[in-house]
Amino acid sequence: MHNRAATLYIGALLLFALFSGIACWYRYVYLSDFPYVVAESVEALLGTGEEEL
Amino acid sequence: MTPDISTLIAACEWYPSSFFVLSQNVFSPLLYYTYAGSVIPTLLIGILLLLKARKQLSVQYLFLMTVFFSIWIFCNLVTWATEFPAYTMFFWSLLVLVEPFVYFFAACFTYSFIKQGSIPWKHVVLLSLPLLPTIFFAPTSLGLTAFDLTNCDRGANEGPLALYGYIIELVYVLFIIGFTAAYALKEQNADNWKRAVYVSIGVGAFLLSFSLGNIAEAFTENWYIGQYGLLGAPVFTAFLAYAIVRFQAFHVRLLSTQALVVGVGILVFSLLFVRSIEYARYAIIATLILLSLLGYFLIRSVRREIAAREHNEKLAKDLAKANARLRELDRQKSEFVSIASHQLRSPLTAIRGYASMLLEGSYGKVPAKAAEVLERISTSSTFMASSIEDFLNVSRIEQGRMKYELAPVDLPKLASDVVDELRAAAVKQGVTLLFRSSITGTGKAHVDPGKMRQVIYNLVDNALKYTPTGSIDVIVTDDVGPKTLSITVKDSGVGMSEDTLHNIFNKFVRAKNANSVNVSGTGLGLYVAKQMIEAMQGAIIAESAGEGKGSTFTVTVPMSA
Repeated sequence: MHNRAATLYIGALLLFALFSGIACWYRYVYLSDFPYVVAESVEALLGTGEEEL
Repeated sequence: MTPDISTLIAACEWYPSSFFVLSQNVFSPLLYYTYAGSVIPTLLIGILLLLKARKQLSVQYLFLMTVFFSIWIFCNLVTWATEFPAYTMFFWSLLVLVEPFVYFFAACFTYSFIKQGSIPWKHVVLLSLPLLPTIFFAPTSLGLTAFDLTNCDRGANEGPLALYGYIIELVYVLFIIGFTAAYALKEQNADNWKRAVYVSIGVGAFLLSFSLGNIAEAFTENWYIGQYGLLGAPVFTAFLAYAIVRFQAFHVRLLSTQALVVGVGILVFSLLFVRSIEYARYAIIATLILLSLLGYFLIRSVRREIAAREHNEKLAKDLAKANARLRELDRQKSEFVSIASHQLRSPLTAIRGYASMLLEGSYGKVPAKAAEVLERISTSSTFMASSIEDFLNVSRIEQGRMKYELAPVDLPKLASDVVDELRAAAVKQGVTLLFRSSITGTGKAHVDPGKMRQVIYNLVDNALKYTPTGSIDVIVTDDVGPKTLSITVKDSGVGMSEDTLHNIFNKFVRAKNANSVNVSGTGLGLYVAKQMIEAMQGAIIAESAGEGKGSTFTVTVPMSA
């Protein structure tokens, strides 16, 4: 068994990362709480999109 | 007027996705190939290594690195495939969160693999500190600022946290380079040095192939090149696995066989989901079944072979240990025999001496009955002295303490003297003892005179012991080979079986029928004779036509120059 404190610390770190991931899901998927940067018109949207593609 | 969001989303006409990742929005099959081609073998290697050595810290870190790499690939693919902006934002935020972890675990892996041990918890904390802002701020606007609907590419606008992520990734890369370089410069041991170099190349190449997408995009704005880089990930993970295997007691063959079988299996299985080859599904299923069967037998045979090899290696080790133990016991035995014999010899000399003096009348006339007893004491003690001398010779030979003083010796004369010495005993026994010399040259042998005399004495004495009636011929010749002389002692005695012939020069071996004619004898005389002759660059052989048909012993020794 290697350093128990290090294992526990990494475990805690991974747990926090998981919480962070859940928070992301809660915000972006559950609440859909994010802004959009939108095109000025549908034409502009499609035109830019085509060029990019 | 700016159109509303739902109008814009509808205008883009994104395709629906299934299982998050299967969608026509991923317009280039290259993405599927590179992502599946990199994540499956990488994760597989990580899992297999973990199964083989789950307690090894470096393997645990490598496994975590492959897990986070796989999560990253999955999230990335979802951002390509999904038609929902919410999912794009969620999985994109996970990308920001997960990416630095790959670098962190790569650094931990490098540290623990090179140091071959645990990382002090303070170092782990120090290494992980840069991750904390990412963990805490990933769900906030610092991670992603908005969903980009200025085009139909389904992208998210990254916040400062993403840039921070790239910076800490660079810090981890610099740490890995600095740590391995410092270690490699200091290390004297070639194996440790190689280990450090292997792992730094493997980790460096893995991270480079992982981040090639970002680097290539930053410099060329061509995301295609970066995708090819991902294909390097499994190659370099395999390289790291090899590095672990190379320096640990893993079975690289078993590991590679398992990886091959499972990898090919997954590849064939994935063909079932390719639409264009729908009609070939039965063939694919048949191939899959066949592959599973063959794979099972292949893995089993490799496992068995390895088990057999391990068993053999263990046996060889046990044998070596047992041999060492036996050698030690043999040495102790020789030492004991030597000490015991020396202790016995001194009182025996006194017994023999006083018995002889009593018999000679040095202490007055001895009655006839007492003289008979004294005679027995003298004979027995002489035999005992001879046995002790044999024991001492054996222990001297085995301890390498026997000294040889080689000199030119007149072999016919030496043999003739020995025969004369034993003639009285032969006459008493009723055996004809003849000596014959057919020497044409000088007849000088290059031997130790004392040892040579003892050998001839042993051979003729043996012949006398085991020849109840009949004759014994002692013949010295110089026509057996270039620059060699030979003495042959041929008797018409009890002879030897084939089995006895093979072992007659071993310690404590006597002919099976020896006890029927002669109870005295330790079974050491011929062993001592052989050791002495071989030490003097000569050879000794025994021949017999069988039990009751006599024996012939031939000694060849080098001629004096």
